[in-house]
Amino acid sequence: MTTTAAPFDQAKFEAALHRLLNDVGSVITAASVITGDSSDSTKPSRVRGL
Amino acid sequence: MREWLANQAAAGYLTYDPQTRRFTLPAEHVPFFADDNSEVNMCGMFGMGQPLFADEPKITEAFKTGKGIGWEEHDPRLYGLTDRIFRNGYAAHLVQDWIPALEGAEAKLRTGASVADVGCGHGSSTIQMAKAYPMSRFVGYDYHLPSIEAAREAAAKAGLADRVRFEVAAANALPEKNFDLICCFDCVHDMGDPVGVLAHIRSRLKPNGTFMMVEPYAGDTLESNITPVGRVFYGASTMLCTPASLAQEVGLALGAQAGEARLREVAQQAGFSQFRRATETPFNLIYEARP
Repeated sequence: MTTTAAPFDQAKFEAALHRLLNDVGSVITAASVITGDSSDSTKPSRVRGL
Repeated sequence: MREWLANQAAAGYLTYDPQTRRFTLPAEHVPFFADDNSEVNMCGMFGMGQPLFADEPKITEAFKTGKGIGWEEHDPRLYGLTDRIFRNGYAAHLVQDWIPALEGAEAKLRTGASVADVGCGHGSSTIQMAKAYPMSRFVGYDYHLPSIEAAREAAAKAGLADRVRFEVAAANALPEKNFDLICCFDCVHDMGDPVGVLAHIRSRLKPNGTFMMVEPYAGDTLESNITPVGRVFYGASTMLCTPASLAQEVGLALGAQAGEARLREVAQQAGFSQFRRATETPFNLIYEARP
């Protein structure tokens, strides 16, 4: 793998930032979603099937 | 390694040139993945998945009981990751923007002030201020002993152990008083009794002292927080912040997206006579309160 010596493109940076915020949001939200997993009968009914 | 590279390329984090069969980290992605000092380094945020997934059974149980989960009860990877997520943002803004935005605080710090950092965790914010204001004295408080031990180690490594102290203390039981400045960084919403804590902080300030409260960026309504940043904060709030508050006395459960109006109400209930938004970043709101 290499890193590029190309000029820094601010628009590409901002697009990547938006994308990555969504990606890390997905990781953290996935943990939250699991607490409400409707197929897991061990979950308390108050969070099942959120 | 081939599969790892392919995974990163498929995610769009690396580029792949089929002619040369080379993978490249674009210059625009270096701040996210390969610069440990970057404000937008995402590795800590991705890493946060580890303790959250590990603690999922506890969190699910907390939904059932409503008893919450103390900050100290989590997977130990959480504490270093929390520091990693926040410290670069503090390094980019705390001394440069946030303290200068407070009325008169910077001048006091330059000539010699007494400062407390309440809920200091691993002490990055305390140490950054100590480096910038060598005439002032700093103490960081946190009720979590392993975090205080990490903070002491970081201060020693930075050569600041003679000007910075770290002590185990709950936010509502600070052992010292007469501070010129008391700060709370991204922690008030985690507390069970924010009104009680802020009232205690007010009592520990000099009459002309300043309280700086840094909190996650948030609007006053749920609908205004339905954004990519709000999604991250609501996720962390569900799994960490709100359970932490519920595990303590009062259990107000402000949540990480409380917003300015709610926090103003908390400060006023605590007795502060002045409260204002001093400045902001895309990730934080910085409030100033005066006794």
